[in-house]
Amino acid sequence: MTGKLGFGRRGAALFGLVAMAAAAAVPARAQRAEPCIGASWELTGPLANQGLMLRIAVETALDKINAAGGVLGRPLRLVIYDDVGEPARAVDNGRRIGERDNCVVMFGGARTPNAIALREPLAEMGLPWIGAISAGTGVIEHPNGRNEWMFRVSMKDRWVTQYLIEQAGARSPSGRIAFVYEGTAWGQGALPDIEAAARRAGVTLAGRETFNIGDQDMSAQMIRLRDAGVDTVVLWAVDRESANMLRSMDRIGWKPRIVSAWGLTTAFARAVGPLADGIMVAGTFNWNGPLSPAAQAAFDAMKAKFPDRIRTTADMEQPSAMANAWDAVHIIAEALKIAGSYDRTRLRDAFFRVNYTGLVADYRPAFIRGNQERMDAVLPEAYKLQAFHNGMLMPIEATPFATRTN
Amino acid sequence: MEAVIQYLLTGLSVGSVYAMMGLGFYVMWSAAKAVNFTYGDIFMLGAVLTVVLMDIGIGLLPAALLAILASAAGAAAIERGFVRPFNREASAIGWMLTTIAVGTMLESSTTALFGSNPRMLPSPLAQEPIRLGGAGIYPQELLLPVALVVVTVALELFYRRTLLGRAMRAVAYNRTAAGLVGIDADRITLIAFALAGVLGALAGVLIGPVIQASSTMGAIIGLKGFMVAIIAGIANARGVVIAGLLYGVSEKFIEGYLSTAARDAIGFTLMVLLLLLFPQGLFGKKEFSKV
Amino acid sequence: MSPRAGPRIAVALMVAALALFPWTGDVLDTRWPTSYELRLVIRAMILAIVVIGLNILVGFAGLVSLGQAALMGLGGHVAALLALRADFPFAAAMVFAVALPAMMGAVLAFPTVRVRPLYLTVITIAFGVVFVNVLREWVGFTGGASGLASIPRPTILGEPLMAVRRTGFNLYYLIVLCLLLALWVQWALARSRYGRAMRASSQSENASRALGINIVAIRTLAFAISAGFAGLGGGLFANLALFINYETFTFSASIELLLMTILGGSGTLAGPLVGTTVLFAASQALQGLQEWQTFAYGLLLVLVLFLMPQGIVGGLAALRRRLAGGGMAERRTGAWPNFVPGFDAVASEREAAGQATLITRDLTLRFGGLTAVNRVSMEVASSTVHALIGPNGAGKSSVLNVVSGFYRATSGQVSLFGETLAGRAPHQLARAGVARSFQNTELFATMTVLENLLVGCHSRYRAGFFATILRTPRFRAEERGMLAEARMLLEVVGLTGFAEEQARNLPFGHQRRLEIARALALRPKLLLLDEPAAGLTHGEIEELVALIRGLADRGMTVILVEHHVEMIMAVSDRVTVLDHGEVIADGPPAQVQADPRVIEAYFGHGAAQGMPAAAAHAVAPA
Repeated sequence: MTGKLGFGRRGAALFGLVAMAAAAAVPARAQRAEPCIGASWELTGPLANQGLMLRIAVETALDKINAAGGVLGRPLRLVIYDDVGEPARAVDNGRRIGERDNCVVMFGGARTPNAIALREPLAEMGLPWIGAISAGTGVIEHPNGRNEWMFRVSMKDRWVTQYLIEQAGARSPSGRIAFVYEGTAWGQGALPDIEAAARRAGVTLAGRETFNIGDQDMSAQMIRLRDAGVDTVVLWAVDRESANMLRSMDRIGWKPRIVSAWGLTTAFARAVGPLADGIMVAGTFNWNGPLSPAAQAAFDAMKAKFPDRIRTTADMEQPSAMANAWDAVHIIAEALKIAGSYDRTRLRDAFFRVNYTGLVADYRPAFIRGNQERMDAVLPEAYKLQAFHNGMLMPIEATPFATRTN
Repeated sequence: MEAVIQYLLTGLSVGSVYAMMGLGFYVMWSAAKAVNFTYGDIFMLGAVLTVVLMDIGIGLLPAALLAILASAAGAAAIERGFVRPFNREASAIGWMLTTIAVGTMLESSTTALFGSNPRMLPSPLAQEPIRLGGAGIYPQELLLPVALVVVTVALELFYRRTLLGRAMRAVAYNRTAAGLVGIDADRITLIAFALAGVLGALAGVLIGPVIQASSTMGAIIGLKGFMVAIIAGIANARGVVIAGLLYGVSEKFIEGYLSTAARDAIGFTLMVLLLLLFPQGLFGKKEFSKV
Repeated sequence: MSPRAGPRIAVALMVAALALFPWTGDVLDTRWPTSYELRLVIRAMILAIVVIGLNILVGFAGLVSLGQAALMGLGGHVAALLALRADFPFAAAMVFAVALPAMMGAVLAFPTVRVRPLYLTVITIAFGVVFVNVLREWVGFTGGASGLASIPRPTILGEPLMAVRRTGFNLYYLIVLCLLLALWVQWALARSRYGRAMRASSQSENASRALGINIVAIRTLAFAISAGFAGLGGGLFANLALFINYETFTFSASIELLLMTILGGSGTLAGPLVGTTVLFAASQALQGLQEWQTFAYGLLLVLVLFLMPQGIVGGLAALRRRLAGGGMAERRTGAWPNFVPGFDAVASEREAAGQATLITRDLTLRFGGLTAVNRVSMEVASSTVHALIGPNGAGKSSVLNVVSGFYRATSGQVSLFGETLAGRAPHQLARAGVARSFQNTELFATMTVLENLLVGCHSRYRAGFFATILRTPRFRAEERGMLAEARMLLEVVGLTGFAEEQARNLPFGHQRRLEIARALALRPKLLLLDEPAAGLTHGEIEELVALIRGLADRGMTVILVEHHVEMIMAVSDRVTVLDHGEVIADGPPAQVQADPRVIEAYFGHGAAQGMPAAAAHAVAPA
């Protein structure tokens, strides 16, 4: 049955459907960005917990900001994609966030290779990126010296290694310090930083040992270190493998001092029980102990929004990262206000004009233009030493382990 | 010297895990000629379910028992639902891929519900290590080799002396012929998978207190257990156990004297070379097919 | 519309869609596709190239590899390292990115493909684990876990290759070209003797060997090709991402590639494209489920594997066959043997008359404690039909198996065509002119009747690998010739109406006919028939006798192992009788028939009065 147009009602209906579907699939030509933060995190897999903790912090912070009217009169929303820790997927997600969702900023995840793989795509799209975990030095300090889009509110491994060497040296009776690290990009990437820091501090490392993710026993490594007379270990690994390492130490009856990077969390303490006591961890923030009003408010908000996950401060399983993320979200909001519009280039430029007091530090300014090293907002002065005591990760002053021997 | 003792002790411990998993693969393979790629997750569930049950207040031993039974039931369900329909077809990879997919589902749902963090499986035998000079081992770790011996002996007796065991061997040898003499091959396979489930979950429960329970603890263990079974020739229980223990000890010596970072590379290369030298496995019989 | 037109139109549409895709935005005046969609399509195409390789290995050769991602990673790292450290230009680096994995594949396969296929799978798993471990730990060379960053942008003749508007999306089109190349090679392989040999080797090793196929060689070839494709995909990936590390090439990635192969439909030509698109799109689309997306992905896989065990394309093809097939009932069986003019060619390789085709002296074969053949001495003259009979377990088939190379004699001498057997493998003997059938018909079950015959022609092809892949005129002429001969043989055995039917669907008698015809496709000098009459009706046996007569008349030498005494008498020139592995009689049929030892062996003690009348009466010439 043909109508006036020549292809009949059914044809027209079909055409209409197809056209609507096509239109729905195609985003309108955009000159400005959307008020969204796009994130590529690890939601599944062995580091899924980190993704979850980031989500808790970022979503709660956004809720608070949106409750107060949003930014530039619009609510800021979060879109999260899973990259399963794989760099190619992280770039897929980055492109999706930058092109399809047209978000104004991208929030980074935990893995350093993912961030490295994103260098070029971010620059090509002109999409600012802000990280709250991945601490690899190379994430922000690009080899060509021309990082223009990647910012970080987190630790920097070159500073962390210096910090840890200093803390280890201050507590090692014999000065025999060893470095134990996990066989990941984070661990391997820290090795040159530790070597450099040790040289600068005049320390000779008495041993370097590594293990793989998934390893269940580190006896061989521990025996070698014990036999080398090591009494202090700088540790660079995450919860599960560190727990197995502690048990390996326990088996052979060796208990060195341990000064660790922020891979250790309360999950580690829960897994090894009393063996964790006295282990020191560097971080940017601690939720146990007295909290500032802002921090208390932040914690209460997270607890209210995620009552099943956050019941006590011990449930803040990635304490530093969550505080970093909280600050990062607020810095984004500040920068957007300064930029005056949802425009990525203006946002990037505005980042350098942010002055903000956060949970972790006073960012005055947060970032300095023209200095790649200073696209990291958190300076070593803000680093805090914590220690496990009675199953909790406390600021070191609140534990019996605060005294330095050297 | 004490380093050598430590490597032997830890090698015994980790080798027992591989051996137990290898036994499980052996039981499943001989009954169904199928490889169950979810087996590593059964191991994981043994430990994780115990932790979950203890979280709600059940004591260690009943929790462990329940976890093992639940895992065994799960293994049986996997056989019934995902292996049996595909074993009929000529396509050998049907069951391989479905068990891979089911394994993905198991691991990811456990991560989503239980979290990816490691959790302690508290056991009184994993608190204080027994020290032998400069080496040490948790009493908990000695449970596994003991369990291994008991299981191996029990399995061999089971296969040789009991009707059910002989029926299982018949099904392994020739499924159709077994059916012709009145054996319900499908039911036998189901029981075999359940039995393997018990072994895998038992391994998880016994070693869990030492290596922490986490949702991703099973993957590499399952793979190594499978490789161990293959290297042994999946021919008999004793061979698999010996291969597992040998591999565990070799791993430790490789770590001790060659390299910890390259341990798996060296270990797996050795396994490949062994397989090329002994195509029927270390303990298998040379196969002969009638033309 | 010819049956070929459908797929051709589909391919043309696909090429057109891919070619126009980047410019859709200009045509429709929108921002679509953005660099995101472009990247997805490019990534999917690269994966499709790798999956095509895996499809050749899994779908054609029936070998499961769980290390394809590692081989892809090898290609990618080769390309990256050559560009980064040795300043290799793009094209040269890509050559190595293909060649090195191909060689690695051959090295992995060659020692492994002799043993159980499961072991090849295990070795590929091990290879994957070792490779990832090496990548992760060899920090100085591979960058360790952090990988290789800042890979130099690829250029061709000074032009940078990028998937952006500025360069006309040249990298995108290069990858489209590579995909089309991969599809071409896959298609050419499938429609060539190599593809047929791969599929044959996965369905019946014995029959393949008996038709002159070197199983080790064909499987190694399949693996090398498969690995080469993986390397191509890896090299393209490295030049797209300009960053590479081990995380993209783990065991999970190998599993995903295998799933894409199976889901699409292993062994089909469109399967890799469909499987890759569906799974890749699914992983992007399931993002909304957040931490449950991996679970949903696994669930999706289970559902598809249940509902479509042959994969999407395979399932659709099976559905189409079921709907279209009037099926077996409508097919007409021809009479056989139908000695058409071309049939004489079958015996064209025959020996001159009066030669000793086969001589065995004291041939002994022992299996452990059992002596199957005990000092058997016999002589088979050329252009004769020589029967080998005896009660069950007499050792008849064992003798055949020794002569065709499947068993190695424990002691004794065997000379064939004037040369000692000397432990030659079955496929070598097949090429020397020995063809055989099997006691349990070993047809290539899922291949068509015509394809089964073409596999029989395999060893007679002259065109080499590259000529075959490029489909040169010389290759096409040869293929046409073989096809004609295959059809001729079909006519001879009356199966012309079943040419496109899968061999496993044939009724039993037809399967027998096919197996013999397939053996004849070899143009053998010596034809070994192992109980060809078993399970045939009386009428079919008479037709079989006529065929053997026809072969003998044309000078072919036939050794016939049989139980049917009447058939033996009707068709043989000479009979050797075995019992418990020993020769108890040897001579013309009539003489053997009356031999008391023979009668005792068959009918037991006290029946030495001569063969029962029924048997004697059954000797009725056809």
